[in-house]
Amino acid sequence: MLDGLLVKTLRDSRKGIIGFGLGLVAMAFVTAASFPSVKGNSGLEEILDSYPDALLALFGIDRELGLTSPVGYADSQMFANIVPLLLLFFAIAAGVRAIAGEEDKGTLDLLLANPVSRDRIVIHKFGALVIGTLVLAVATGVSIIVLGPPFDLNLGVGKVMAASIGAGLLALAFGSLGLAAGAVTGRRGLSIGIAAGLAVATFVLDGLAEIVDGLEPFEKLSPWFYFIESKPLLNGLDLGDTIVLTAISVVLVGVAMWGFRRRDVRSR
Amino acid sequence: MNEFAIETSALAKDYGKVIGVSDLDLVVRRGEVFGYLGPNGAGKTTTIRLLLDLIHPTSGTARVLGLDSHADSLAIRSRIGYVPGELAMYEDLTGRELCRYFSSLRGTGAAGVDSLAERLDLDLDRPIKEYSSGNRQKVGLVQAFMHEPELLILDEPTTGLDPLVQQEFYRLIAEVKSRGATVFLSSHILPEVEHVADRVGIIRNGRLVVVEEVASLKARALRRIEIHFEDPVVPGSLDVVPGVREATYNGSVVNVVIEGSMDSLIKALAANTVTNIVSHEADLEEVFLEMYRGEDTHA
Repeated sequence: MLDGLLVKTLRDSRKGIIGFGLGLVAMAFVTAASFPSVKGNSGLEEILDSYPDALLALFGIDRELGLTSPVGYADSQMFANIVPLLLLFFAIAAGVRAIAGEEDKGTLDLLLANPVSRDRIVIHKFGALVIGTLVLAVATGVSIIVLGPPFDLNLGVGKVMAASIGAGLLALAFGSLGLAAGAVTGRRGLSIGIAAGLAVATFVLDGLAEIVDGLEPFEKLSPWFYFIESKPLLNGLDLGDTIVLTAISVVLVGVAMWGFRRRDVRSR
Repeated sequence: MNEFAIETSALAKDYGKVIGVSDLDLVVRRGEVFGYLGPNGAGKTTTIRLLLDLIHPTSGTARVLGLDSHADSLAIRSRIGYVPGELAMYEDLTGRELCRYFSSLRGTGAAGVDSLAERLDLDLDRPIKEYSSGNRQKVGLVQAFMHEPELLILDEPTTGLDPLVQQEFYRLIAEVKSRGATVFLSSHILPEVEHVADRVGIIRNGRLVVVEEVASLKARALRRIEIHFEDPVVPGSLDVVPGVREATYNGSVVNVVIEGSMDSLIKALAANTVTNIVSHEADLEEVFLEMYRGEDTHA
């Protein structure tokens, strides 16, 4: 049933949710199935020990966690990089589609002929973005919890969910950036560029800041810092980080409403 | 209750390089069918998008159903139906799903949808991406009419409709008018506006050139006629016929621009042997040019 903006927006995202969902589950399976060949491989640890910090940091490998323990393996192979990246690709696409996508296709004119305020459109579309992203994040966590044990990849349920939700919140921050860029500019390509560009740039910044001393003061500018630094897969969800990531999204939704309210809807 | 359905004062939209509209004072009375006529790019769509608060004016104000077009936009939009000129819809929805979605946003039922679809001969249960351009336009009409709005704002609504459906559309307009609603219909086709409108506003280069009753506009409409005679014609012989504005002589073929009734011309031709007459639709461009000439002489 189509009985509202939020439901309609979720419906529009269903292909993305299913596609990314299958991809994430498949990745969880492959990661779990590969664990036995890494587990307890002391040779691998020795090789890693010889690598410079810079390289390890860029590959998301934490020297303290290692690579051959379940937590170190799952973190370096999934949660420190691929999971948040996949989630934020989904979130950016959905966020940009929310306003700029409709504007690009021209359907925004017809939608706005109905008695719905621009604020309401932003809020409902954001709501659908939150639901879609968190569903994918939870699906990822559940997959590795279910698929891990047969391959001796045993991780704490709470910790895995913490890492998944953390990755989801990080993705939402960039999805909200896509939403805000689309709401302010009305331009789809530009908005994707802004959100994806900043996602990649801050990912690199976070990796480099760990190894380049001069960059360290700037690491807190990267949203990734608030996901990676506290190691949720090891320590659970950090309250402060959760608040920071959520606040980024909330502020960006405010920016989206402000920008969308005041500007002209572009005609095709 | 305010007596005007639409009232703009000194409304202007400046796009920088392109002219939007400027100094627009437009008044549409309640209960009338108002034809908004002008060539493509004249500012018709800009005006409509200003009324709907899709774009904001550079200066001036617009009131719709007595309410401010920006501050009261939500209240306005709950009482109007709109067909955009560039009709883009959700391609993966069926016509019925689109109507249901919009009725849910409006908080109204979708009761009128089936009878409207039937009258327009539209199958509502196919995805919009499979529709022909005519069927798309029908969906646009159904979603605009379904909640029986007080004011219909229609931007080139008959684009792509076949003649039979157009006739049904004209009947719909007449019914809407008879229940007291107002119709604001933009078009670049003079005969269409002649057919349904009570009054016509003509816009060109973003300015409202003239607002007239349809009857008097018809009298001013210019028609281009190509007359083929059997024998060459003496240049100047048709210039004296009442109503003839311009005549170009080309051997045995004469191109005539005539205003209003053709009666005197036909009677004048009867003295000669005429092999063929080609009459073109009243040329709106000519009407506009004529309006401008009028403006210039007043200035």
